[in-house]
Amino acid sequence: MSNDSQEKKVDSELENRLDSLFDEDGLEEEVSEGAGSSSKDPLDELKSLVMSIEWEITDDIMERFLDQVDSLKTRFGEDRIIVMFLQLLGSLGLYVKTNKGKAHPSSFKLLNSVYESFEKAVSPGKISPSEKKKLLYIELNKYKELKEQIESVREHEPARSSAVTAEVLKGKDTKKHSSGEANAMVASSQISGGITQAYFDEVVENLKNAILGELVGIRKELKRIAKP
Amino acid sequence: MAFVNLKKKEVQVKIVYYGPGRGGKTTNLEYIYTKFNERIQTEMVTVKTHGDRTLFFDFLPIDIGKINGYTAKMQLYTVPGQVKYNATRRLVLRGADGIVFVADSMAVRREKNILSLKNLHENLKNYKKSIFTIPLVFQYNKVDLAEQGIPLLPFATMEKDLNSQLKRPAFEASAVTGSNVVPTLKKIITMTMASIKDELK
Repeated sequence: MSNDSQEKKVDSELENRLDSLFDEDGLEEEVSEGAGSSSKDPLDELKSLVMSIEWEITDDIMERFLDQVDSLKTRFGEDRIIVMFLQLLGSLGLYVKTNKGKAHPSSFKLLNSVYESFEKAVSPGKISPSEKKKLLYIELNKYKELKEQIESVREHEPARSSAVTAEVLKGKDTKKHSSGEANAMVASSQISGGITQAYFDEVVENLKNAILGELVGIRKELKRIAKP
Repeated sequence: MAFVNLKKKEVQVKIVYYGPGRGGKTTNLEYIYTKFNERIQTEMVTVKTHGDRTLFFDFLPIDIGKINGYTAKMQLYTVPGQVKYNATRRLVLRGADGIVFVADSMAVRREKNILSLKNLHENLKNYKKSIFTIPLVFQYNKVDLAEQGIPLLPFATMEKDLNSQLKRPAFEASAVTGSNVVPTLKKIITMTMASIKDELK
């Protein structure tokens, strides 16, 4: 085989390989055929999960919801307000996941409301930064009210073991979402009393520490991989 | 130069997404990862900086399979766009085989695009590489913002500002919706592989 034809063969091999690997139309078919697999935009995925929660609450749905919230935190890491919205969603998601059908009825309503505000805040050019902040304050206040309602129900029902609820509210979940959501809960209970820059900074600092921990882990991993 | 392991019959290619801050470099990689993660079966690593630390990049390895008997592995990186992170940018650029320059189509970012391209030119010189010879594809991102009435630079203006001398392939794109993200990637992979092939001759 001549060099020219050999080269052409390699080029077409590469082209075919890329076409099949990155065939977006084929992917849509795969998704529609596949059972529950998702390759949607993370925001669309989060929206459909919020809607799913209205119909049924399963561990799978709640895990996916919390995973999406986590991945969006990475995506919007530089926007404090969006991250705060996501922390609220994460905290509520964790509470619903832990308590499922026994969760306070208002928690579902609040989850929807926080999501709607988040959606507005995240749409480019839809609302101004000050309106975003205002929306966040409103949701944080609602969140504080819900927390008080849950506390008061718990006080009136001592027999019902709410240990798990209490733990989640204190941010002691044992699963992987623990630290971020815990910070969100603790921080938001303070913030809803009146947001100050200092509280924002504290929350951001907590996030930074979490990322720093992650960074140390990644560095170790990279070093380990780099060793021959 | 790409890493070629003759024994293992493996080629590792480094492609860097370069451009001004908040231009959509990470969103490009996120789109590819989200859309094709079941096919590429790798993890995307995102390392963001804070405080004074400068380690800040995204990394997405993609195994594209066997080409002419060699396993071809693409390593996609993004650099931090902010001006102050030039040390990191330079570090990530080291050993790059191909570059996607993600420019921001918003009219207000015109100067930032030009400055970032100049910065790429300088940083490549640092590694004795030339912006005129390295495989390079332009992506004019955020065209979706036109729907929201945000003033954008026309394609012709972007071309004049950035690509009038280089004359490289350019795509209008929206990394958020995924429009032209994949064609950009395919183009840079094809160009980079062709360049490696030429160097190996």
